[in-house]
Amino acid sequence: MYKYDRFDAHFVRERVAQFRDQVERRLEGSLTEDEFKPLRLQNGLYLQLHAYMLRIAVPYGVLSAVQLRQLALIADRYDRGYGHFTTRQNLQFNWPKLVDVPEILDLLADVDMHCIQTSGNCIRNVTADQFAGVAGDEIEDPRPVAELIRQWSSHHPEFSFLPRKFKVAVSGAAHDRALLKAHDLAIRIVRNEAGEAGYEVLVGGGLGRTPMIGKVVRDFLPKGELLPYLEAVMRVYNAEGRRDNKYKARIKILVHEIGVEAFQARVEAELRAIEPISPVDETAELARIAEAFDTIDYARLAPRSERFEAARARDARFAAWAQTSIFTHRVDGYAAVTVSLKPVGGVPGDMTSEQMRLFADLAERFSLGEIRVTHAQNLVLPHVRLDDLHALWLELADAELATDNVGLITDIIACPGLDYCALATARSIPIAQAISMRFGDAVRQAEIGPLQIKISGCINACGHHHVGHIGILGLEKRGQESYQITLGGDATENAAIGELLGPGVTAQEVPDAIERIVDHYLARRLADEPFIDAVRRLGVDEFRAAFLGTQDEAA
Amino acid sequence: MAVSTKRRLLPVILIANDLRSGDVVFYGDDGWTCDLGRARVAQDHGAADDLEATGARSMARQNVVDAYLIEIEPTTDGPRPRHFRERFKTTGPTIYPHLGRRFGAAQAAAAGE
Amino acid sequence: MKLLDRDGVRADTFSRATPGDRDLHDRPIVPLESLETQLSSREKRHVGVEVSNVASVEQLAPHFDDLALIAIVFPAYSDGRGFTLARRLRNAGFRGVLRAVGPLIADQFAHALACGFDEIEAPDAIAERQPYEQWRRAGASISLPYQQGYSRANSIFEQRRLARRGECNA
Repeated sequence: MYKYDRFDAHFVRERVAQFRDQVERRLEGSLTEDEFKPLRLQNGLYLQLHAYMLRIAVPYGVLSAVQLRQLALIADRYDRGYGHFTTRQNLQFNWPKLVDVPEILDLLADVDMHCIQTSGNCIRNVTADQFAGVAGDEIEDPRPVAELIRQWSSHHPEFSFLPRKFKVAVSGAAHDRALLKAHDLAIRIVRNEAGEAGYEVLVGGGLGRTPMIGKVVRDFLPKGELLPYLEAVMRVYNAEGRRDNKYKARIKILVHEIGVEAFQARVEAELRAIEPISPVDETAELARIAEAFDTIDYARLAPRSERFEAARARDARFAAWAQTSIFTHRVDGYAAVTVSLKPVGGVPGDMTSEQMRLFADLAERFSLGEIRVTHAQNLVLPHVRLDDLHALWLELADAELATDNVGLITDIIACPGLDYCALATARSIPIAQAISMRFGDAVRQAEIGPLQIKISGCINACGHHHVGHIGILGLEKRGQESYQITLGGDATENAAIGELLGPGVTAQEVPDAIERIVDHYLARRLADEPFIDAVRRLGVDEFRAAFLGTQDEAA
Repeated sequence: MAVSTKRRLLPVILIANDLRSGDVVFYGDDGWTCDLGRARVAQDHGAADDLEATGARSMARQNVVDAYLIEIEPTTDGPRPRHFRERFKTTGPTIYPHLGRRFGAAQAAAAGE
Repeated sequence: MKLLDRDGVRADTFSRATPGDRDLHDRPIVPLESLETQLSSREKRHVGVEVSNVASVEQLAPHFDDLALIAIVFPAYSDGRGFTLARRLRNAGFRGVLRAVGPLIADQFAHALACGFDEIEAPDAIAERQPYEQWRRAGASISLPYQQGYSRANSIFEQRRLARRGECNA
């Protein structure tokens, strides 16, 4: 893992001192709330319905056992004993007091963590493929470039007061597990015809009120030229992004309104106006950062583990869990294990401080001390020996962390919704809980197979509902919570926006509506055809009829 | 603003978040309180305007943030917000009933010991 | 309005001149529309121009040598376009004084200086609520930033580069 050098450490401490000063000046009146708000947001501090909320950056989803233990300590000392993992691989605490936040930031800095730019109209925390450095389909590990962008964008003098937030994602793999096409800017490490690795750059994706799929603006950017290119993109956006309407201020609207070609031309013109060569020796920086990720000393193991195979044959429950939870590691004899934070009927992404400590111990015992956070609000133990899988599973089960539903219908993404969020129009979590209870039976889930349900409590789409196979959007309709259901969204390299099935339904009607859609799929699917493939083959209209049938019955 | 142009439905109370803690607070006869039952209820537009002005002053003095009026209906258990959003805001997350107002009260009691 | 720079609050030696203004200003700041007229009619070295944050480098570049000051208006502190315009003007070679005009706050002092501004003309209300000491402190709060080429201060990337070179030589 990346360890701060003395410069990084000094920077984060100065940032903490800066925020401490800002809080003091807010309390004594030098800063009005209007002035303070963007400052606190750029440090991850929101005011939600019931309290402040602090969003802690987990850069590109990489977390150490030591860090998770520190988060547990903060949860107990300054919060209410639990945290919430988000769709941008961050962790949120729901109950901090403003006056305690500087102390919390110091505790985070103790373990190389911070809350910098997890909110606000700035370049946000960079996300990445949760299997970075582990996946076999990877051209290169994307973490060094993600870390380079984290540093370059931190407290940027020019790009801290953008028209709107700016989200960046990075992946080095053939398959997209980082939702690249739904980001303001995405970088995919690719090879050119000469076999050199470089960057494909996508711009203008995003969910929210006007969902759009990102477009390629550079199909091959040579290594060493990334930061000037990013600077040019950001400068065009900062100067020309709309500021007259909050809902039209994201870069996707600018790219859409002027067209990709015009946008590309402006970026290239901007590049010509600045030094064409990066002022930073990117190659040396990337090499320096990469060293930190290359320290893992894997054992030489056989690709097949007799112990694992025997346990799988002996224990059906273990086999079921292994079936959904294991991701092939590029190193023989290892696996990456996804640990579901979606217990049936539970709150998606929540973890108690007790679970955090236990999980940190397991990461140290079984995964070289390393943890990943996924955008689907689960955790990953990235380096588990196949030989150890059964022992790990037993320990996870004791901590109620062995739910075997990863990728299945109850592995639901849900934003905090109106249970916490000041922007929400309806609740999300109780809807997720109700669906989870309805489909919680392990056999039934396995029979349905891969199916992603994503729920947002407002149009801002933190719950990624647009790209859910089934998406659910909570709105207010005539003084009541009402839920719109979409179908056919896709969060992979085949990114697609779901289509609306019909008028909104009440909270009580949601599980029935979902069940109708699922039943229709089960009746119409071909042999092993996954849900999303069946939707594509059969068309949304057929499912719409099934969905509307539910409504007729309810009426 | 003239009373006749107000679209608010009476009665109303004044709600906000405490600046330092973020806690949900209500304006009562003795100032800000965490107890919804002690919120001052404005029955007419004049009283509502006064409450609104109090909120603005309190925000300017760095006591609270996000102060605004919410419409309520009186019940035997005290004021009940008409809108579901404000009901959630006054009671806490519906998914964790133990983390709502009772948690705050328990904390306050523990701190007092 | 109060004028602040790296050294403190100071008197403004420029003054705003409006079109049709008959008074002779020693160091006028004129709107962009009347810049050509102004430049043709007087001693050129002390002319300043005030522009909105959507002005283009192309409009101003022909006059760089004649302009002593360019003032960029910030309509709101959350509107960061002025930072980019300042940066573009510096990239294009403007060496005169750059002034930010508008409701910036102390916490943006470092951003403004790093993007190439020399001074801030802030509303009295903000300057009174946030005395110069706060601007000084906020301006110095990050002693070593990451970004290279933005301020006169060294960057973290540059420090690392120097360290690498030192190691190689050693």
